[in-house]
Amino acid sequence: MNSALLAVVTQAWPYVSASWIIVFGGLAAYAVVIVRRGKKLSRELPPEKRRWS
Amino acid sequence: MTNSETVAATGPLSTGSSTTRVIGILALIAMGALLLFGLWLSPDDVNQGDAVRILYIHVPSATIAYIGCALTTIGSVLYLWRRSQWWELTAYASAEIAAVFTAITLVTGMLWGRPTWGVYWVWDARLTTTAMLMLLLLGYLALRRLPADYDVRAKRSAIVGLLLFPNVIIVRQSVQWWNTLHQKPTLFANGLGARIEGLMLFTLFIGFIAIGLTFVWLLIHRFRVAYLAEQLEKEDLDRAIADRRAEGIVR
Repeated sequence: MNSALLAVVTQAWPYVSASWIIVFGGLAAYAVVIVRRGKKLSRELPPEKRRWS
Repeated sequence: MTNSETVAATGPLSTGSSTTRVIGILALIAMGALLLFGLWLSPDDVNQGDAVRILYIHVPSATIAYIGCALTTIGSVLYLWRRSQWWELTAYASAEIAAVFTAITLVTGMLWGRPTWGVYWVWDARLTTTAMLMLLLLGYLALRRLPADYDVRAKRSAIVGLLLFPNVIIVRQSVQWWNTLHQKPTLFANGLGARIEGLMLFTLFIGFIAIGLTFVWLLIHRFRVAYLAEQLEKEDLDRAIADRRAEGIVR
């Protein structure tokens, strides 16, 4: 691997890693928040108000 | 009593259902494939090097944010026209998820810009209009959450919701209308033609499927959360009115 290519690889990977971690981590955290809120609200309502199964 | 009979008798204790479970599993499989192809199997770009791997999540996230905005505008129109609560809740759920994907688009765009352009941010037409779209979405969500009667909140936010899709058209066309640092469209550059091919195009296609399925899964769950919240608010109001009436009878 020549030095120019090595420079490109080492320059880009921190940004690539950060992007993927932010996307996957952010979406996972948002999904957890929604599911937990749904569970909390479901417990507070009578069954006939929760119509999906 | 079987498990399904128990659920039917008590109602589901979450926003999950068999449909969301299937979509969720498919989304996880697609995300796994995206990780494999996006970070491992696809080649690096001649000009961008490995920075191209950011685009496999950036481009689908931007597209899904546009779709979310379009859905919010459609829902807002149908709420204002027919007073449909179903469409209003769809618009609200879609706007929140569109805000998440617009934020992802901005952050991943900045992280792609740094190694490619040398800067995180420039006041380029595409970047500026996307930031304006983010502000509009935050404005919609803020109006929707202001304490007021449901109809008042829904009507105020629906009016802002009408502006979302026209703004998406401005964002989409900004690279054509103005001279921008941001590149022109790669997909559908010349009609149905694409300026990307082979494994790179395939990886981008997986990105659209993975992010698209995630959007659908989030939308269903977020819609149900919004529906439950409105039901709870209505129930609290009914209970308060009944209590007040009971006090009147006692007196």
